[in-house]
Amino acid sequence: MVELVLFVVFAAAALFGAVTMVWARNPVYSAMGLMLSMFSVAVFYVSNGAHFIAAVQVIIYAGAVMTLFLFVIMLIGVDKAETRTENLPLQRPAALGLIALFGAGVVVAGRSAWVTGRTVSPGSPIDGSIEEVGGELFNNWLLPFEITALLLIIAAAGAIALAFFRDDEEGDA
Amino acid sequence: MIVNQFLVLAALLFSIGIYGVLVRRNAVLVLLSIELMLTAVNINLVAFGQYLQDALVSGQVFALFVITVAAAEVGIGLAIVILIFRNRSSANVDELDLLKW
Amino acid sequence: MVFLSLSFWREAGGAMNVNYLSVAPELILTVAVVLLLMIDVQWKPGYRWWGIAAALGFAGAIAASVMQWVGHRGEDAAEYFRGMIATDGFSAFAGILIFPIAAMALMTAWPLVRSLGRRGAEFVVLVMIAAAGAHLMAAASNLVMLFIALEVFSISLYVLAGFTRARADADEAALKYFLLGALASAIFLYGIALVFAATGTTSITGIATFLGNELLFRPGILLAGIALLVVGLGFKVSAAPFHVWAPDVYQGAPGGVTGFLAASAKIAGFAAAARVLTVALDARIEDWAPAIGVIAAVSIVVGTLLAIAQTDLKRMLAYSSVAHAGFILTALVGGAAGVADMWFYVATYAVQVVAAFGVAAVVSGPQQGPAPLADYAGLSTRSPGLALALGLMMLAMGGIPLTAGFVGKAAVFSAALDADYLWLVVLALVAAVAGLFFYLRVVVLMYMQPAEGSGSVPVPLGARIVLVVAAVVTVLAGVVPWPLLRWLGEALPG
Repeated sequence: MVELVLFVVFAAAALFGAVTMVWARNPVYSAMGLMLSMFSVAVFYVSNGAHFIAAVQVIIYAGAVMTLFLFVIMLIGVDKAETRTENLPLQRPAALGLIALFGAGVVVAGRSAWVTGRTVSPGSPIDGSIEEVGGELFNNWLLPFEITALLLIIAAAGAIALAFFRDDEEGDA
Repeated sequence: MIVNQFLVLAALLFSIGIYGVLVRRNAVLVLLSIELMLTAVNINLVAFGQYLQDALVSGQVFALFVITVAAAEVGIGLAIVILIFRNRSSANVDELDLLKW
Repeated sequence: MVFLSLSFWREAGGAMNVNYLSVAPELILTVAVVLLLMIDVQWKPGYRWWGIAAALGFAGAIAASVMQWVGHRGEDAAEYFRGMIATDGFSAFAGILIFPIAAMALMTAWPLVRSLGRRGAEFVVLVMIAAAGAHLMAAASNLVMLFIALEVFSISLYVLAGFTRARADADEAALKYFLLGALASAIFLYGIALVFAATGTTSITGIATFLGNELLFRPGILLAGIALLVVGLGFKVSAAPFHVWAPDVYQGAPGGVTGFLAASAKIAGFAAAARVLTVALDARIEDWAPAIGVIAAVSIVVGTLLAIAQTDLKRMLAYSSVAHAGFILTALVGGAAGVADMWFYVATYAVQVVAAFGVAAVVSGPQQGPAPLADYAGLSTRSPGLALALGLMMLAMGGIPLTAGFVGKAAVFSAALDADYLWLVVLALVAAVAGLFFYLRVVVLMYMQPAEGSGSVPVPLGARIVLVVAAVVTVLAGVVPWPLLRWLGEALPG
């Protein structure tokens, strides 16, 4: 019962945040809306036993990444309202139509079965503590973990190459 | 019933994200919408992992990787947005019309 | 390869099965990348050092791939790192293909690298990491691994597309590529999550075992997952109707980058598609093969029709690459039986497209995005060698006999015929004939129109080597395709 109440409250909050993000004219409100969604989603992680992921979600995602977003929004001065006149009149209805189609697909898939196959043995809920996740991460998932190092090299080198302007720039600039 | 509610919520959030990508014109907001889609996927992964009683914690570890990838993606995406802004003082996707077929 | 494999044992008793040969290409490239960056920061030796580091990295990666090929061709996949990576003929061949292609692309892009000043180091690094990511996509035997490899590969390409910075259309290409690519990644990810929900595992062989043993009565989630996976991969290989980014990106990106963008995306995307579809989802071929057939048909028709209307060489090649994506998908409707034919087409097309964009980089300038067809009028008098190379590539892409393009088309059509997709083959044949129009138009333009500009076009050494190699490969694979076809029979995913 407690779980249901928690779910309803935070699902409503997550959806409200998401809709705010899509509808708000001011980009800062959009970012705040997404932040609300992120926090609410972290609650679901906890209710599913993923304590570590919940912490990461709040610290990295809602914290660092969204702060970066806010910085850029302020930096490039888009914290002003966006006009709503649409150059492509068909785009909005088309988008809604696509969403409806996707929703219908989800419902059809759900009718036939939400989750198929794999028989589930009722057991103790899985443990999402740091020890457990860390143990798995550095044993079974070692290689993907190492490959994310490459990803970070790209992110660093790429961001410098694109957005860092040296004074002694040769060639273009 | 323990998992269906999360799937519906994730599908809803994912749809809202797609809608945002399609109708918002500011590149930063498109990027925000994509982040929402990734979050929706993470709800799925964590909920499925719990439902399947997955001994490998695949769902949770995968969600961790998704968050890492999303952070790297955001870094590059915002760098590109800033670059565009330097060159033409605007980050509206609609105004990107130099290339047409 | 016993001498290279080391096994660590966990207390619990399971083998970590670390195998350094299985990741040797990535290891070597990463070491080269780190050395390049570190020495560049410390001593600033300039572009010569970048060239040396890149050459060493690619040479090492190719050598490692050849060793994998010698040890694993034609065998079942050997999985390492707890089932994260598979070493088999398939992944080894992907390495033998992707690393030389990346090296060739870097050679044609060398004038661009030199014009970038200090930022050239980052350019070289991104090409090397993208190549490593592309190979990992072909070798990944777990969907998590595949997703991360896909992101390593794609994010490098987003940056490369906008690398010149000064031109507004290049930034625009980068932003379009980034936003649509990130959207495609999110969709692909949702697909992985649904497949994980349906089968309870993300391991590719695990999914195959599960689907082979269990009869699913209500496969709704699985089918939705497969559909989203196909959409995500369709984006990456620019198959219609998910191709909208390709023309803008190919036209806007700097000339030196486009060849790598086009070729590596095809190789990596189709390698991943082949492993996911024909290994993991083999038991579900009745569900995905018709969808692949429809996407192939739409790609061929849309790509061919829109290519005819173009007045820019790079844009025309972009639409032609959509059509080629369709031709390649034609091989996959046959499932595992079509993988060798797919490889042949992908390999020969990758060589052709690198060479064709290489010519565009020389004629229209390595920094430039647009390459209007008017630039190519009378090219045969200004630079006979370039005209010959571009003409040969056009004929090969059009599928003229005695070129690799003809053999490739014949191979994919026979694969589709074996799978009883007659309608698709007929449609593709008609489109291939119609496609000759715009390929031959370029040849006519180069040889039968008077030159507008005057003076010869100087060809840099790197581009010259690449064009000669590409021409030799294209003709050889067209005249004597049998050795390659026989080898490809051993380059199947296990």
